[in-house]
Amino acid sequence: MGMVVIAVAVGVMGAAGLVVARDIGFTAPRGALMGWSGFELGLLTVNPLGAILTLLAGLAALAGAVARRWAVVVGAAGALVLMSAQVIVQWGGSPNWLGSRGTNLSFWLAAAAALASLSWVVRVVEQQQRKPPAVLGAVHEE
Amino acid sequence: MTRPGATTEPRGVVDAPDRFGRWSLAAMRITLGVLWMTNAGWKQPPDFGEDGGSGLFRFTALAVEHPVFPPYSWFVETVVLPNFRIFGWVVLITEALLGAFLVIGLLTRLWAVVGVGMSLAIAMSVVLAPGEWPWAYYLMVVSHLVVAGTAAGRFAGLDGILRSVWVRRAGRGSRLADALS
Repeated sequence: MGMVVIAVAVGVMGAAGLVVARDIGFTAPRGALMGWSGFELGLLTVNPLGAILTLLAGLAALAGAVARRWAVVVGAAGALVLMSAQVIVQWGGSPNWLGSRGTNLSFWLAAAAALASLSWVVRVVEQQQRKPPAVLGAVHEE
Repeated sequence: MTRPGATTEPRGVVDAPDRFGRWSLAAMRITLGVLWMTNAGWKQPPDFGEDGGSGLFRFTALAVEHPVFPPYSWFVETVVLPNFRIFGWVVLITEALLGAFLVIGLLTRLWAVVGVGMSLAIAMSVVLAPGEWPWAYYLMVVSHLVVAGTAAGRFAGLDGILRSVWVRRAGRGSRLADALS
């Protein structure tokens, strides 16, 4: 359930990014802002490429979570980590392929960490359920 | 094997009297996370405002112009400002991680303590600067203390989910993760 929530949140941010970034270049270095800067609630900035990748990561994570394909979820988390690395490498300069900034770094890392850790928990629980119960000794009823 | 005495009950939020209390703590944690997340957005590399005397550089320099704690002002003037780009990267990455981990509620106690430290550092830079509202920084420090003290990631956060595994493992890593959650 938690994985689905995270995946949907990522997908929604990606879809919202496609809307706000519709009028700027595909790889514009200065992305469009999602949020309300006047209220100091400026969230991610993305260009259309950044929005598409965010949306795809969310969709992949959702598909993996629903289909219980944890490798797909971990792959989506890996993609989000790579997107976070893009911020460190390119923000403040040109090119900035995803139109991102520091807030993107934080959001994408949060989603990656959440998806990866939830995948880990599910796999650990599934492994424990597959183990035969340990028989420590016979119980004798008198 | 479950560690002796271990429980997956949401210890650390037991002082919250009811669900309203737990959700309030979760809301505080998430709001603090969003605070750091959004404020990572203006700390722009590569110079973090040093070349133009703006941005993070300007706020950091306030510790020297309007000293709050002289040893801290000395540290900023002699160590931080001369090496500002390194400091800028440390701040950017720390704030991004703070935002990320507080929003999702993972290793919450650790990151809330880091938040206390960051809040104190900011306060010691800007509390006496013109136009600032010192109570904002007092509230930041205390809010992070509350999140740390109540382990606010154990409700509506990943700590609450992952503890179901951590408490069942006897390894050092699991014990450490549980303590930091």
